[in-house]
Amino acid sequence: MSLESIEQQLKTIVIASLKIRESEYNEDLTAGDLPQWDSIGHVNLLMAVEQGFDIAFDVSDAVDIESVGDLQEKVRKYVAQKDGSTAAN
Amino acid sequence: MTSLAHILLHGAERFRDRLAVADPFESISYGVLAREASQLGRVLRAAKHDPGARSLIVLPNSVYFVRAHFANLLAGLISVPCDASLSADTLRSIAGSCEPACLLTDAATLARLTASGGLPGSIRTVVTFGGRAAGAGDAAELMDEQPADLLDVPRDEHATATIMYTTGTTGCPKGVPLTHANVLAALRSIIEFVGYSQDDREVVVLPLSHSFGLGHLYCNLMSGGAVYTENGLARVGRVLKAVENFGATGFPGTPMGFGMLLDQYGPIFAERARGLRFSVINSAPLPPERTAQLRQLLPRLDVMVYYGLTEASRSTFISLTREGPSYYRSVGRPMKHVAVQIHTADGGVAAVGDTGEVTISGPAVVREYWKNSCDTALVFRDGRLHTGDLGYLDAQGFLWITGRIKDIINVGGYKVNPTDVEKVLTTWPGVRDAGVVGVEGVGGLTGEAVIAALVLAPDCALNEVELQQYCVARLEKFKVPTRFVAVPEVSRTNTGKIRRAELHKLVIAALGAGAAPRF
Repeated sequence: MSLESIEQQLKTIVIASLKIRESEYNEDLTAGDLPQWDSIGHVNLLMAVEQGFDIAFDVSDAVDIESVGDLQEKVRKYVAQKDGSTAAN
Repeated sequence: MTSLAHILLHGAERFRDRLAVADPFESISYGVLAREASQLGRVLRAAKHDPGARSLIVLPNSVYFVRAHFANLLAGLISVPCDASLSADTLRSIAGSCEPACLLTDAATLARLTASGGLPGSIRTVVTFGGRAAGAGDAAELMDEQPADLLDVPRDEHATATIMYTTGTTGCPKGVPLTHANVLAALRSIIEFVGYSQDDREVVVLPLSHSFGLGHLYCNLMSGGAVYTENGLARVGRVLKAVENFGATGFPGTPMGFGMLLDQYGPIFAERARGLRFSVINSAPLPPERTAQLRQLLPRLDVMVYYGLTEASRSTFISLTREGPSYYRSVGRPMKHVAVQIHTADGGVAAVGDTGEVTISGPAVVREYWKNSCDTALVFRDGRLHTGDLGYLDAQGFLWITGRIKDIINVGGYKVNPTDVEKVLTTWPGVRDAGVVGVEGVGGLTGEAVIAALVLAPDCALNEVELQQYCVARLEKFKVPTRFVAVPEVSRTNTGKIRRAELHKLVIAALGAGAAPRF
């Protein structure tokens, strides 16, 4: 999966999960910045990302995800791991 | 001690160099906090507002908030703390009720209020924290111009210290005027029950604008302890790091918050919270299985719950750890000097074990709502607070809450009047009727969630994204429905009242069995 397609898919998921406009999406957007990105919104967002990419965050990674930028970084890492293990098989 | 301001002044004498309050951006000792609050208090006094004038605080949890609140008290003003996430309409409604002379806020909130209809006409003094704004004094600059000695305060303990606004059954914010004596009486009992000492440190992410969160701030400052504060659990990693790095001994919260920590972040929570001595959990009933989970995960933790309303502070308290599993559904025994009675429908006092309305009297109970004679007459009768909650007292004096008379939805401690949400939903083009109910455990989370049932026009499709955006723009976030479902009808009585029990069943069926969150 290319980095570009990861970014695009993540953007689509974040916009749908947080119910924001495209113009509001940026990597500095952080939990607590929007009324709907509260603790419950955060859990729902991470679940949507996991489902969308078919990955499962370790709790130790999930707990420190705070922003769209953090999500981008973690998703890239997990997708690369998944692609690597798929290729190895 | 006759004034809430004495909490800080006495703290500055006894614990001058000890840490008092911290947030993610700054830490402040008792001595510096008292000095800065006094300097700001002087600024507010210099404006020569009438004694007992109200001063509205609209700030998130922060050192700024604490400084502003004590400045109000030191200036002899009635402090009116408000949640910074409240909508402009709700803030305007609160301002309409308390007619504040001062507004202590930040530049962003000031801009939001100004843009949505201007500031209330009663406001003569505006001070902003964390940055300058047009038409407002900058708190840091104003404080710098003042002498550093501490202010003294009036000693009328029966004067109103704060007005805390709650959303009542009418949907209009109700002001609860708490006297210094009301709050101090409650704090002394809480400190004794919980066993606060100067070795305690609490991480408080509950809103300081509510009595639950503010009470924890007071208790620590009265005992020489310290508080780290920020807004909620949205940045859960940072909060849990604070629990560990701040050396927290206490971590108060809601059943919903603890449910999320246990379900989603259990191993990390256990690791970072292992130093906790106690957690006071309130705002909704704590399910017994949650208590058991907490005790298993953190065996040293003293899990405490209480029964309380803003109007009466903590009326009963219990250590579930000490009393054991057979009391996990109880809310404890009355605090010192508090009289809890159960009243039958005919107004008599119920026998032990019989269910009725919980009523409360004692020194922590207020006498009225602020300028609201209708609700005052309904709730404060015969010298007692009629809570609207149903419960019974057992032979050992433990109180057990069994339900509530009102329809209010309890979202993690925030009270949602369904009518408020329905009013907004019915203005959405294509919605013919709307009913809102609270549903437990939506998405596997603990506590009630606001769910909207909509009767749509034939040519209108359900669009949850647009509906949520629409509500976010018009309601406080905790009132925004988590889910929207289409229903054929919202059943009503002849007088037009929604049959909520029936609607609840309809909504549950429409939601279906949702999968619990996995991670």
